Amino acid sequence: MGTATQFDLEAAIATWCRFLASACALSSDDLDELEGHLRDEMDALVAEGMPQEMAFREARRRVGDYATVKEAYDQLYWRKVHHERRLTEELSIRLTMLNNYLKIALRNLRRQAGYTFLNVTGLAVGIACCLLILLYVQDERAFDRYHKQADHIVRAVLDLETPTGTNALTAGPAALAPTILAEIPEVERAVRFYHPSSVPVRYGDEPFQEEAFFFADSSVFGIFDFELIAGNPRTALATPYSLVLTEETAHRYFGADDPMGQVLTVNDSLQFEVTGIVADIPAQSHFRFDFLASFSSWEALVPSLVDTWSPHIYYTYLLLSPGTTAEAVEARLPQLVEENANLTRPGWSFNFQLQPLTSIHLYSHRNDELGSNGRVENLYLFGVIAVFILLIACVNFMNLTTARAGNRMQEVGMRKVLGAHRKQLAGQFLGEAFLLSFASVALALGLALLALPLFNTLSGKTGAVADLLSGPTLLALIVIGLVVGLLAGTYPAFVLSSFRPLAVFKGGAQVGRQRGAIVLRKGLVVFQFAVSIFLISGSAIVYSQLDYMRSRPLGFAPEQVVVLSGLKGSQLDLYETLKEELGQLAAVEGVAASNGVPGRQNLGLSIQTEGMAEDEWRVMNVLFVDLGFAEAYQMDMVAGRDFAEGRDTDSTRNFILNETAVANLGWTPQEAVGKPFALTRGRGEVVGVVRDFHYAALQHRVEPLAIRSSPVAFGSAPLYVSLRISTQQANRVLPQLEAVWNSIVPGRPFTFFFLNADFDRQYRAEDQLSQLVSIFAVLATLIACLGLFGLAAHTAEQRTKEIGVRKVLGASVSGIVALLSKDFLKLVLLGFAIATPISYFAMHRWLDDFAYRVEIAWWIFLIVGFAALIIALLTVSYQAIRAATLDPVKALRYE
Amino acid sequence: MLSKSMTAASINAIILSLLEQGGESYGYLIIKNVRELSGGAIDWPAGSLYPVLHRLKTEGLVESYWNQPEGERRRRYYRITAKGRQALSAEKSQWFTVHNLLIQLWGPQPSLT
Repeated sequence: MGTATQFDLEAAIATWCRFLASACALSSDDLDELEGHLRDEMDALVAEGMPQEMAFREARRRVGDYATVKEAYDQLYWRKVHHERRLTEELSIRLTMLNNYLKIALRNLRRQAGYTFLNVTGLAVGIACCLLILLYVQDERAFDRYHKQADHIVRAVLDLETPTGTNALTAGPAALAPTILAEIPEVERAVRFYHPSSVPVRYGDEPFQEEAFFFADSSVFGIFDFELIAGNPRTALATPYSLVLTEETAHRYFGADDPMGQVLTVNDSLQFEVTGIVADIPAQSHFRFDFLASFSSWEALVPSLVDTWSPHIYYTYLLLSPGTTAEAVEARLPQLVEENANLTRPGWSFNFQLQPLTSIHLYSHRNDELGSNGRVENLYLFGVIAVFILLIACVNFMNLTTARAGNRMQEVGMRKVLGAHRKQLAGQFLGEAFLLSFASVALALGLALLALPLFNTLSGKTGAVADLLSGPTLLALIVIGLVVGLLAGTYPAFVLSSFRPLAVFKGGAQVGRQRGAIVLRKGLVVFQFAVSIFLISGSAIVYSQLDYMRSRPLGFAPEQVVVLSGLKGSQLDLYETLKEELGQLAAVEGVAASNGVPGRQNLGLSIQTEGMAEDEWRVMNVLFVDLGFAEAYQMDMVAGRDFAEGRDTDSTRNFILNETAVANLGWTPQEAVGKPFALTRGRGEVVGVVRDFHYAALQHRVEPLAIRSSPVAFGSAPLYVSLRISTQQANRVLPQLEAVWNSIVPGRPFTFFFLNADFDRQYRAEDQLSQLVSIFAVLATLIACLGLFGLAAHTAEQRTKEIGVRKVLGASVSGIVALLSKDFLKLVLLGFAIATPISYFAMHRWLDDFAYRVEIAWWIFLIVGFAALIIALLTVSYQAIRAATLDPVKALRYE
Repeated sequence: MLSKSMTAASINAIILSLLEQGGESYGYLIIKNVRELSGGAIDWPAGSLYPVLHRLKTEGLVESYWNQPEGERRRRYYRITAKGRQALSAEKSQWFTVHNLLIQLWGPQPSLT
């Protein structure tokens, strides 16, 4: 036995110990113990005469092999060492795997940079749209919620029942609030607002015409949280002729001076003292004021109008005590009205309703609202659009991932062979989906920030960057990220993890190319295009309706009509002079005064005519005009004559009716002429019938209208002076008009508007809606096209060899492009076929809201369908042409 | 050789009995004693003895300490505790129950055939 092969006992024991230590969970004491045991065993064996090396082997056998020892100790240490070790081990394995997953994911994303770009861009644009819509919806829903007591504040509105129908008024009688306070203890506070249409305010020499001038009870600050910057909320509006301004208004009048205690001249003669400054009204308010004058001033001015049950011009808000429901209070109102209101007209009755403050903005659309309210339907519409856009983007992800799944087959097969569970694989792919969805969320946030100013312009909102970065929005983003990840990732994860490794390595697997997967993919593309076509044709129809409303003959000529609106109160008697002077200007073809103009509020009054009982009255819109109105507006007389100098002035105040009014009264236009006609104040006869003209927006049917000759302005209604200008460039005439105005009506600002622009303002909400919907429709289509582009690229890539062979065999480029495009175009056509009827019915319903509506033209759908087809064709053919023009040698090089 | 389950069932009782009778002992010695006493029929691998000793220790039935008697190797010695004795007597009565039953069942009895 040479030294070289000498058995080294110590080394052998050391090795043995090291092995044990690494294999089993052992403390060093345990190891010492086992080593001692081994040595004892050996000593005994050696003592029996066994050679050392053999004794070592025998002793080692007797101690037990590693597996036995490990198992025994593992059981022992299960709870302690083992567990801890497992945990750290597990964690390190997980981390390693995570690292691996991340590496593989990033590698894949990089390798397929084009597809990644399509996915992320589509998702990001989709999420950004969602985010902006979410912001819009949040903003609309937050209206009036900044008042701490918002949940206890209600507005009392009035359904005025008359024999000719119900008039849904927002304002009610002045007596309502005090009566409720006296009779219903559950109502803690009440405030009345009165909003005169336009009020002249002067500070020093400078005159202003104020539109947002309100009178309010002093309780206003105890109900609403309008923050007083200066002044005492309890006393600010307590005394007559006190006035609270918003900060901005105060700045407008007084600049840097202290506004408190300053005196403003209102309506030329009344001195109001500034007793408080209120912070600017938040944008999320259903009404906004610049001035709040004490209600007691109004009472002092018009004592007869206050605390009566007519007229109905006072907006009444109530603060209910906690625990009281609006329904409970509302239920007591009929009796209260019964006992207190003195209604003299037969067939007339009050029906008061209470609206929760927070529902006013979205749900209240009454006749004399304080501002233009939103529509909850639009929120739903936008919500649906947001979901659709997000779905389209998710579909892209699903389609591209499953289509490209083939490229991951080897990886999945390898992982499975190495022992990966299906769950782990599904987790891996779901994780990749989350990685992408959160990358998209981050990008979407950036996009939304960039698009915010544009969106604000379009939606008329004032969403700020801070709103976009606020807690709820970020939370929503995380939720969107999770939902998108799940939505887009679940199906691909399911498909990818289902690969059978054996099939993969045999090369026969066609995962992602099975019938089911392909049908689903096609179905999803159809869905995308159906939604896109639906949105586009929808917005096209909205647009055509708007266009129709704008271009429909109104029955008068609103173009080149300038309306001066500043003549008020004591200066009304200057009108005749003004009319004369203005009429002498060369550019002015006609001048007429009226108490209303088309597109502005109408005055409903009680009328009486032939065939009605002494105490029977009907409500009809009445317009007071002076001579020359029909001429200035270029209206058509159907029968009778226009008002004429000498015959309709003086004591006899005659009427012209519109066709609808005449038909409504059961007459023909010819019969109508000469009939007696009366208002509660003054009688006359019908002298003419005018062709129906749209004095309200085209959402509304033309209603009966009586036009009365009345050279003197009526009551407190504003006086409008309408001028027909001969030239197209009305702007050039304006300085002349202003010069005349200033010479005749000093101390009043020259305020004017163009009638057609003013009239079109009524379509602003529809305009906004149409613009937003079109933009979202275009984006939806864009996202869908991104997906189509990706799919086409994928198909072209997969069929490279087929195309190569076809070309070698003599196929033409156009033939191959057709081959590749055909399949996709079929899907778009199918989407079109599905979307068109849905769109038709949906838009039909939307149009039902309009009294005058465009017929849905079949060619709109045809154009939209054709456009979708062309867009899809362009998208697909780019890839198809690229594939078709590829040199077949390159494609077939490796065959 | 005893079956695995038999070893598992009996190992506590055997170790505790040995420790009760012989006072302190250590792993190698326990295995050697058992081997000799059983005439080689019971020969535990050391790897499975020590974990059992460990468990007995955590259950408080034995206690252990390192000791190096003069001229010998440093070893971990085990000694039975009072609680161990109680456990042993409980164990013992169970073993006797089983034993008596089996003796009756297997003992000379009228042939059933």
